[in-house]
Amino acid sequence: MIKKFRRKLSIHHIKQNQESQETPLQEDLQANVTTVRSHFGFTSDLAVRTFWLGANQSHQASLLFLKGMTNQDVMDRDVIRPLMNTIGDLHEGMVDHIMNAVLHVSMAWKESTLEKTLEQLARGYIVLFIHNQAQCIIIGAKSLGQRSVEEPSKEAVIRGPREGFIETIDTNLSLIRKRYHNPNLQIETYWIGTQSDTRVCLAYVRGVVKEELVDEVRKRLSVIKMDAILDSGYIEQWIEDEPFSIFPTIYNSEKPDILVAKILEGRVAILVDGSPVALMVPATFQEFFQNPEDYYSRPFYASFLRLLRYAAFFVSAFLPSLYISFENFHKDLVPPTLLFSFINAREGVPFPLPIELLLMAIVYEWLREAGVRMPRPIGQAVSIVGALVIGEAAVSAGLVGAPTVIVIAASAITSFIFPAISDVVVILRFVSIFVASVLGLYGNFLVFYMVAIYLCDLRSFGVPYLAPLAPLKLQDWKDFFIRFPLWLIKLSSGGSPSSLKKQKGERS
Amino acid sequence: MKTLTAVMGLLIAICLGGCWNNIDLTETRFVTAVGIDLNEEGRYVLTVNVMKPSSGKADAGGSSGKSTIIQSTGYTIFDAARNMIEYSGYKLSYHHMQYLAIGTEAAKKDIIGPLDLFFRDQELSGRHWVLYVEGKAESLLRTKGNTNDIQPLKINEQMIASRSVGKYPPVRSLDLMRMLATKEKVGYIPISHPFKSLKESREAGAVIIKDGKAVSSINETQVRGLLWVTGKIKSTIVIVPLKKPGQYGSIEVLDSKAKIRPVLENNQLTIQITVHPHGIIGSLDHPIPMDSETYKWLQMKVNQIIKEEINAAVAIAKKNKADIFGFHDYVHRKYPKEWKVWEPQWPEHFSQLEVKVNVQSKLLLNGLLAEQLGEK
Repeated sequence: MIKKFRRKLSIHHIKQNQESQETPLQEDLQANVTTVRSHFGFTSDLAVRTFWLGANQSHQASLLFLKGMTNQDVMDRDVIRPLMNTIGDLHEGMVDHIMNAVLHVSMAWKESTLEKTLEQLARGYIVLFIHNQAQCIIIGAKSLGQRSVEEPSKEAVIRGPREGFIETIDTNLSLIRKRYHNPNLQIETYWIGTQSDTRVCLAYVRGVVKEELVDEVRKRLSVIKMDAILDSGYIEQWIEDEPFSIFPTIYNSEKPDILVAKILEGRVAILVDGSPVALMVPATFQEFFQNPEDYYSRPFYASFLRLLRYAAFFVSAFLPSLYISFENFHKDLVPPTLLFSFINAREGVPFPLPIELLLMAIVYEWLREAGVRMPRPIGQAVSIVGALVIGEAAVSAGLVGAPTVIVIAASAITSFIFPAISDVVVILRFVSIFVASVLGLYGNFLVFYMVAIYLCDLRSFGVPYLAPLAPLKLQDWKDFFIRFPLWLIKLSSGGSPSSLKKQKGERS
Repeated sequence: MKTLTAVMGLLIAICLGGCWNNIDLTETRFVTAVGIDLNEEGRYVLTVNVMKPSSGKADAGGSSGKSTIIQSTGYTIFDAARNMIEYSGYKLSYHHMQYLAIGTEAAKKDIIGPLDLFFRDQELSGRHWVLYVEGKAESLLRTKGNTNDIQPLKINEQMIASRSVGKYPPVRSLDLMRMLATKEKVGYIPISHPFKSLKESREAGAVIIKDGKAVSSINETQVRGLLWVTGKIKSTIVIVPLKKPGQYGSIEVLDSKAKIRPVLENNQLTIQITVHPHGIIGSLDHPIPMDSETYKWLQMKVNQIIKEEINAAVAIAKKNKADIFGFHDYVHRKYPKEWKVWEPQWPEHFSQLEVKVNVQSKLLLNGLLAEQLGEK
């Protein structure tokens, strides 16, 4: 079934500019306005402003725009006032004249079909109809409510830039440009979503990225058939390599500095209007253990932390199941004094160990979910319930053993160390608890090997998921378990470091 | 097809392998020590020390569980072990057995027979210690651990610490198996003496096993002689009588290596033992000038004492015709052809063997003091 699904995905029909029927605009101003309004269903937030063009009041013109999506100041000062005050006689090339000599706006172009006009109007542009002209002028004076640029709470750093993407794609693109002043940065725009018509941008560095990769991303984007793209998560689920894999094959981040670093390594970033989360492809497993601070702080502690992160992955996924295996199957592997304290803790506990662990693990997931969704003032209640009731009271009431709480707590805490794959770890944890409670240590290793084999097979946009571990590329180990000093890590763009010479006339 | 192979592989991996004996901790009790005795009817009496979990939640973290002693009898040890359920209620787990004590009567009759279960069973790792008890093995189990609430753990530590004393040989079950695997079934295990109306015990000396039976006990000095030869001493104190009577110096041996070399000359087999102990001056009752003369003199004394100890051990082994040192392995390795002739009468050969002992001790330091306090 999976294969069939994959095949369906891999048949890429490139979306040719599908020839939708084109209706030319009419010459009559009133007819045009009415047509557009009727297409919008006479919605109340579509404003129409009809006025005399020029001082001699010979021609009428109409501005159509969606209330709230336009910059009122720009419209009053730079669109309506010049149009009303224009003196030139109104001739055949009037539209060009207005566009080139009257309007004081940076973005303005002509459209002559109704469909295009409707599309631009829906995107928030101002449409200017002029009497007796079968053309209209699209004026860009958008102004949307937007959040200020803040530090993303998911990816907080102690050292490093604190800016994060917001929901407006133009601002996001500016955040990228701000960090990478180079004409090689390419932005490609696509409009995806049959209903929502959402703007999706590809960002990559020309000359660094492989052209096949960009083609592949374009192809995959072209297959997306959805009504609305509300977040980059939609895109991710449409274009990922293995939709049935619990491991993510696409990296995501809210930080422009990470994005720039990734595209400089030859990746392609995908930004979606309305989502602060940018996607980056291809992704390898080791990326989820990296942190921008690894590079911003000095390498020694960063490398140490990175090693701990890898260890934490195993603790988080396998500690509960190892605990089961050692207690129920391999008691001889536990040192006697440790075993005796386990025995004392377990004595009088009503449930078998696997049930106990499963219960605690599930209760923990509930707590976590509640903590995320709850408003902050109520959030404290969760921590009290969690810490006191679940932890302390359950142990002193003799419902669960203290080691169980410790084991679950340890595996829960460690799962926060790599937020991008903490969901993967939870699934692995439950699976390994099940298997270990039947097969013991053998089951544990069985799960581990299955996952390892699967990961070796996994690919993200043609790149082996476990690189540089499998296939082995020792050259890339400089930035794997140990983060070597930056000057030792070969620049992936291959370019020599640009000269630090300050150019003449450069103003910062 | 590929999927089918993968699924088949997974099924086979799950069905054919796997760990068994899924027993929850609350469904079993752990035996920490085992004692083997014979009763008047000649049946085996098995005494076990069982950990009793403290059900109170208050000290759930600590390992201050109390233990209890349970006894049962049977025709064989396994029989007695299973009969134990009649008394204990739980099927006992022997994973964490710390030591196995065998009483005098049982040991004099046979050691290999009753221990066969412990050698054979898969639940045991063979890491438990084996001890010989003066009197009933039961009495050792009933002693209270004076330094550890769990007495078997104390014995465990004591056996590990033997390398710093060298007055009793630490013998694990696996070691004993190796020793007894020879034709003559020769070996040794440490002796435990319960005392103070059987409330405490002291481990010193060893018993020589021959033909799978305990035959003769050897004292601490002889044990140390034995351990010097087998190279099992890491650290010990050698007492050196100083020139004034009643005053002693103690030399702390830090490391000792032994070399055993069989030499065949004129059809006469001799064993050359060379021991290289390294030590420092631990304490001196009487001030001695710290010069090379003193060092040489002390080294000579140490050599002499260690040589005497080894000779004592060799003498008693010869007397019992029991090759506890494992000389036969060295001879076999070096003279494989001749060994075929000697092998049938090895105990006889061993008792007439000439053993040359050569001790070359080395004093390294005199501690932090050059002279005794107050001396100049």
